[in-house]
Amino acid sequence: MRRSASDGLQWVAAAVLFYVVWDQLLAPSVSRAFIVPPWRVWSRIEEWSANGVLVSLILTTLSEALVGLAIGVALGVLAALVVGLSPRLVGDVIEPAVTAFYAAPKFVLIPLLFVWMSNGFLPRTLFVVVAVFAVIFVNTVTGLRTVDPDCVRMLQLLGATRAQIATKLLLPHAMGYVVTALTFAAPFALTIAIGAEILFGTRDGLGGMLFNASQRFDAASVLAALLVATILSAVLIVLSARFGALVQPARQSPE
Amino acid sequence: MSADSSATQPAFARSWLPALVRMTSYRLLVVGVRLVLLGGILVTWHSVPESVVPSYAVGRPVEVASALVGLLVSGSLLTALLATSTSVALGMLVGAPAGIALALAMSIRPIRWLLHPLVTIAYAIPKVGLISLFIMWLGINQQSHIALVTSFVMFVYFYGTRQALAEIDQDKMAALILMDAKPLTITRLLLLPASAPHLYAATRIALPLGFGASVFAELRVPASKGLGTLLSNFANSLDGAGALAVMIVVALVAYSLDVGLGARLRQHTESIGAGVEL
Repeated sequence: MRRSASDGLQWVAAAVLFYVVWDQLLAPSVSRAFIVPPWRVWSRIEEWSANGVLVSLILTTLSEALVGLAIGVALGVLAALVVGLSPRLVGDVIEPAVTAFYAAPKFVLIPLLFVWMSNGFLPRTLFVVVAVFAVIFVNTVTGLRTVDPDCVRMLQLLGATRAQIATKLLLPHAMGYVVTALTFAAPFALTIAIGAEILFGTRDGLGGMLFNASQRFDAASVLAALLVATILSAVLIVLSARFGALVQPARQSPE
Repeated sequence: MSADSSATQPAFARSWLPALVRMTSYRLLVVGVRLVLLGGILVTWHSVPESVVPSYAVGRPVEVASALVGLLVSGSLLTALLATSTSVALGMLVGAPAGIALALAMSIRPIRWLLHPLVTIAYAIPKVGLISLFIMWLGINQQSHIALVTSFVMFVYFYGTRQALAEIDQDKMAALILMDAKPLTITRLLLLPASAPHLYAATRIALPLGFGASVFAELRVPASKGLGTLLSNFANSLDGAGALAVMIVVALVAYSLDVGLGARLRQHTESIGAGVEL
């Protein structure tokens, strides 16, 4: 994306506006516990980067998110292929359960996970796996099931075997849906990881810092953690979009 | 069936009756397999040894069933549903107009130029983290739940309205302006009818999202009497059966929202970039 001069000006102007509103209007008038001036947040971040806390926070959350993402995507695609390429009965039988699981807020599993496995990297990453699995599975199965039946019949008339139909038609079609899902899966995994850290009541990771600091009413730390998390999320969004554009440059709608 | 009888049957009966029979027996088969599968799962669950799956984590089927019945009978389920619904409703009441107003404001070029980067960054904020902010600003009560629902819902309506405005028929707009229509008339005749489907689509996405946000907020801040609070209480007292009962209720509510809104949530892939699902 080429940044023209006016693009850069736009971002600078917006940043100035945000800073001015924050520093001049909000911070002085509201009490210390609610909003702190920008310099306090900045000095908190500097403090964290000085004593290595920043790196540890980012690494913990990011690794939970990315490991969970990788495993979740792998399992999701695998399970979707098994279900999608099986006889239609399999998909129809499990469909309400899958829809209910997909629609339900996954965070309700966390108290269970906490009682079962206590706190730690493993249960949190497991939770990310489960959440990502749900998304990828449903999207891929949809991809496999929305293939144009006329295309399938045409291939059958041309004498294609089931394997050939699968590899030549079903899989490429489904991959479109998988890539679409992947472009929002990474930021999604990050959000899930942070949410899990908050609900587990841990001290690790950005979510842990958010949880801990909000307990202590430490507004500077909360805002600092939020800022770092936003930057991380923005980076993931941009990278995912680039990845999506790379893998499917001429993006027609997955038809 | 002899050739005679098929010759005497009317043509349409010959075509749709076998299909109907096939359809019905397929549906019965699907239901039958589901029942068998469910039965198998329940039996396995019931007989799993304590060492593998302790019953304080997840109760046994009978316990979960009785917990569910207990919740229904004692009315705490209804209370929880009402409390969570209130949070969601109030959150949407604030968030929807806010998102729509923001989108309308952003249709004015200078405002859009100024606010566009801020809105983009705000979209990137992991909104679950905002609960920590709301705890500090609004306290350990239902207001922070409502605030979280608002932040999720606002973006859905913002992007929906943006898309609605972008797809307005420019010819009709030009015609109305040429005929010297007042802004209110343009809104009434063109903008509102054109944006109705987008707003409905936004609601389909926002309602389950808001429900999830409310449950998350209640899990973090067990203040109101909502479903998340109920779950949190059961989990803290190591009542696995009760916890699972509440989880089943949450899943059922989410499923009925999905089905009721006709919002096959997988359409989210083609949606208006409304952000993260829960």
